[in-house]
Amino acid sequence: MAQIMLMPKLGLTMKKGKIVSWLKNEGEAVALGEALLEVMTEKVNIKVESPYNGVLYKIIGAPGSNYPISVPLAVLAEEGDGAAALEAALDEAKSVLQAALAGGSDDAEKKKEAKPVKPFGVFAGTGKVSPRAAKLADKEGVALGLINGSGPNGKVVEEDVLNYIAQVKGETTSELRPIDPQSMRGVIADRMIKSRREAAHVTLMKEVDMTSLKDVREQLNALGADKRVKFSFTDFLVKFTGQALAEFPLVNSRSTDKEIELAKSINVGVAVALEEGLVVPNVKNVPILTLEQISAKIKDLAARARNSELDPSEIEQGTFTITNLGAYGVEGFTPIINRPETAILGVGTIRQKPIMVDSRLENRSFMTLSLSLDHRIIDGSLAADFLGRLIEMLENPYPWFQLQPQGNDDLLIKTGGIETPHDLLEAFSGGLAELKEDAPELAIGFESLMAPVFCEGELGIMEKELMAVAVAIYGKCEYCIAAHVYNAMNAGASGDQVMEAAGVAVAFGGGPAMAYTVTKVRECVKAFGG
Amino acid sequence: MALSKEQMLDLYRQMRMIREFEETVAKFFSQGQIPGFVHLYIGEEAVATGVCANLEKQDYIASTHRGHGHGIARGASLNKMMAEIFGRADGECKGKGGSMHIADVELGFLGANGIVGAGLPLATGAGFAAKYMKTNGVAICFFGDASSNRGTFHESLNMASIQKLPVVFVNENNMYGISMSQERHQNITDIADRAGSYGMPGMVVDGNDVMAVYEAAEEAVKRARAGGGPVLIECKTYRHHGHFEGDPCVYRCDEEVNTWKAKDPLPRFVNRLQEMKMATEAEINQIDIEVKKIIADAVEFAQNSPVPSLDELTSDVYCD
Amino acid sequence: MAEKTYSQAINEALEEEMRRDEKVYILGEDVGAFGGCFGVTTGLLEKFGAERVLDAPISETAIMGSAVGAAVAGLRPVPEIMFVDFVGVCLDELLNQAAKMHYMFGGKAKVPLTLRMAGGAGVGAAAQHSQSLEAFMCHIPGIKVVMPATAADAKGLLKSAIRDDNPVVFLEHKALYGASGEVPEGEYTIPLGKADIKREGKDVTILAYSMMLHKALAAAETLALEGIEAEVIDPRTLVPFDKETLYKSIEKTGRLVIVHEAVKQGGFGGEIAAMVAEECFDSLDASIKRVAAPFTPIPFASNLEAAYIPDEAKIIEAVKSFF
Ligand SMILES: Cc1ncc(C[n+]2csc(CCOP(=O)(O)OP(=O)(O)O)c2C)c(N)n1
Ligand SMILES: [Mg+2]
Repeated sequence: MAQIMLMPKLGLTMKKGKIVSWLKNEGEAVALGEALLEVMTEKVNIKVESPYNGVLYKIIGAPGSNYPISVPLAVLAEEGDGAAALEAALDEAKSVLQAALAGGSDDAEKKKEAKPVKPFGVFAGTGKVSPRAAKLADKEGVALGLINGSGPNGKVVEEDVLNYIAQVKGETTSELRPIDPQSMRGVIADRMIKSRREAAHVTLMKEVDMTSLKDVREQLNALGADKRVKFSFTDFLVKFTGQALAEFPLVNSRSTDKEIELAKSINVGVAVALEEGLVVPNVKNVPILTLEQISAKIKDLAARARNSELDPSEIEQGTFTITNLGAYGVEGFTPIINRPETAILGVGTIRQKPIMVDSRLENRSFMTLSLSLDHRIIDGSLAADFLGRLIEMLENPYPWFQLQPQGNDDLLIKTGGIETPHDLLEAFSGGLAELKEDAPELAIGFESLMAPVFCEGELGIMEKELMAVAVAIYGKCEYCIAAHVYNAMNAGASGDQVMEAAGVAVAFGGGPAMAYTVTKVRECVKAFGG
Repeated sequence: MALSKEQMLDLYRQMRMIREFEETVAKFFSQGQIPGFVHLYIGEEAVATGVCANLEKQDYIASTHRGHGHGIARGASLNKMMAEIFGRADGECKGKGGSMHIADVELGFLGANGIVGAGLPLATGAGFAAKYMKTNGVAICFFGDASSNRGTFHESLNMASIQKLPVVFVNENNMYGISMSQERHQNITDIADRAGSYGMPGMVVDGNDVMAVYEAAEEAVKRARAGGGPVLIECKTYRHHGHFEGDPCVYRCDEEVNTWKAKDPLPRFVNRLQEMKMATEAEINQIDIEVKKIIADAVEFAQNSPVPSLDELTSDVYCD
Repeated sequence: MAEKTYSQAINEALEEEMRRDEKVYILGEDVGAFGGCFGVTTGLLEKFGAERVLDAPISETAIMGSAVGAAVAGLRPVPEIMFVDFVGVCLDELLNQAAKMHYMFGGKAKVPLTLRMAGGAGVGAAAQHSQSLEAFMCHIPGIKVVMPATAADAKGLLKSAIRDDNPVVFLEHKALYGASGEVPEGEYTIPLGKADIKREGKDVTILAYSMMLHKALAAAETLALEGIEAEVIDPRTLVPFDKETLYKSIEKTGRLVIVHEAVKQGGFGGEIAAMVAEECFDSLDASIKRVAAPFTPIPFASNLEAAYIPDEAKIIEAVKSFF
């Protein structure tokens, strides 16, 4: 049999070896134990003995080259080897060698992963503080209890203290980027300003499924009940908008004719309607605030706005605005940008709608978001990405709060039309329960008939239930089909077994049994299978 | 006591088994299928075989870094030994020890050892235990020529002697400690001479003659078992391969190697068996075929055995 | 600068010091014509003869003990113990003789020897040939402990060790012998007790030595792709230890990960962590992390050995736990 000669491992630490020379030529005979080639390791040159008797058929390891241990270096022919077998061995040896030499390069491409979720803080202060943060807080006279920790397990780290100080001072930092009139942005800006004196408004509208957020809000309000914290949807919108703005810095910008100011801090304004008109105080540095802090801040700002007690600094330095007309039943609208900001989010009312989800009808809550942007600064596609990202988070808010979905079953809409397997099952068992009240002797009689039949005997429960499935189909009873498929699968029957039982019914019942099999039976198997 | 034909053939089978096992390990090591390093016993098979043929169930052996032959001669499972060398879960030590730490304490095999000279006091202790517990057992210590330069050699022989322990010290003088020839690492020719310093008998035997080894060990083991105290047997032999696989052997010449290969204990014993009309060529061939199959099975067993589960990493550090 | 292997660099340091100072000699098992078990002393016998490159019998006690005696009597021995695992055989000579003489004799004796030993796992050599025993050595007052990670450091540090008047334990990593790196041309030394910042960064300090330095550097490159800039410090010498460089770095980054191949329990990383906690606490913005081997002997099977040795992934995980 053709043999493949490998780079031998010559000692403890050897990883690769260099071929100094081959001591035999191709076509030459070589005996087991006879020196075949010379290999140089880190240490010394070693004559490597042939591990086989035969003829050196082809050399594929080149003198002067380094090879890792265990890669093919040559093919040896043994007596009786045919040309085809030798060529096959050679091909194999070559491809193994190539793969070994190419190895390691394929790990270069790193897959693009979904953006990780770093959960938001909800309530302030877990009490853990790093020594470095403690020292800084002490120096700056900051009470640590107010600070929300972003370190592992909610620990307050230096950065949190620094951010908090900046927040308290209402400091915002920004980066100035000149608009080059030659640049694309400059050209667009120029064209836009010509087409319209003020910002070039465009409004995008998109519907959001708020069902999950509703659930999250309920769960968090339950958690916050003893603290008397009650979150509004606006609180969540501000928090998630803050997160989206952090990912889309250009949307978090301010502009003049000449410059785009990329704000380093994210200060989200919340429009408050007053009799005299609209004021927009803003919540500064949204990303570092807990939901609780945001909620309190919005309530405080709104209250003081109504009493005309706002400080000018609370209205200045905004980087984005949210305006909510939901309370007025408005769905979508085209809000005007709060200049010099470059975008504004209009929030509509929340409405329930029936909608198909995975072939079941659900009662879910929807809301429309209207994002106006200054088209001079923000392209529609970017705005759409921004809006899409915001909606993505609003629709799956669980990981951001480390919560799990709850109470989703309430969403199911019971319909009067075609009954689902679950409906059938429920209708039957519900009916039986009611019968127990109304005519107990009848119900008990039925059950005492069934119990001894469907018990473990010479036949197992599963076999009996499978027979019942066939009979139910033959008897054309939807309720019986649902009940016995359910029971059979509960007793361990597979979908295939149920379908085989149905096959028996079809053999006897023909077309009608077939009709039940392809409709009800299959639905039941699907519904009870997983 | 004269050996029966069956016993003689068993000796041959044992040596052939070790040879085949070691050649197989060499092959897989060079293919990179065996991690770490291995020290092979090829050329020295007569020593372990001749000594261990005298042992009983309650006896102990302590071994060295070159321990495969000792384990096989003591009757350790070939499958499990091979699996251990491959680093597999079904190995003697669950794949955690490897070639240099194969052991089977239930069989009285106190393990191969990575520390040269470590076996001498261990065997002394096992001999002490046998005496203390009156098991009628003896302890054998295999050790290399170069390890007789360690303090443990001198301390152990002295202690075994004053305590009259049932220990047989079996020196495998293969004339080298890695690259150091015996004449460079000590100023004596016969290590057996050192026995006198500790007040015990020392004898030199041809370590490539399995019968000679058998007879010497028979006497020593009998004496030790009977309470006569320790004995030092020096077996002159030679390793055909390098110190470890991959050793370029720059320190010895082909001529020397060839002289010793001519004294290979296996063909020598085959000749003797045939001269004594103890075995026909066919019988020998039959044994060779059986052995080949057993070792091939051991390889298959090892290769089919899974690698150890990661839970094994931190288990067995302490007894429960 | 030229590319040289770690092993070549050590060989050059030995050769240069033997040429510079006649009192320097080498003693160890198979160090002569065989060139040492790992080839480190290759060619030295031919250059300096059998009087200065001595093949020793397997007598570690005598190798180390005679080196101590010769050192006190005025020579500068460079004994080699093939694997650090065998140090137990001559522990008394290290612990009670070499380490304590200067002190016990009221400063009147010097023991200028450099004990070279190879340690480290990763080649399947199992429980008795793979250990990292530096913590052992660092616990003995009176000896210095050096653990180079690169060829250049190995050369410069070994030259300093040989010239040092104290007993120095020089721990080489067997899996690094074949690794090559830039080595400066000509004569140079690296002082003992001076750490080296192998990579600058602002977000986290990773302290790693010997083989683990290379894993830490690889981890730092991966972390950089994710925007985390790690500063990687190689202490190079464990005793004396360069606290200043480490503390300065922690002041900058606020975070520390210590990586070593030895088992975590009782490892030298514990000493460093305690030192930092005592003296540099206020600079810490996170708890100190140690990445080290589990508390178990080194397994033989390749998969177990790979799981045993701290790797890039474990270092990255430790760093990421901060963020
Ligand atoms: C205490 C100790 N020192 C050194 C070594 C390294 N070493 C392993 S085997 C060996 C040579 C042993 O020679 P010998 O005792 O004659 O046994 P052989 O290898 O010839 O069978 C050496 C020096 C070791 N394993 N343990
Ligand atoms: Mg020997």
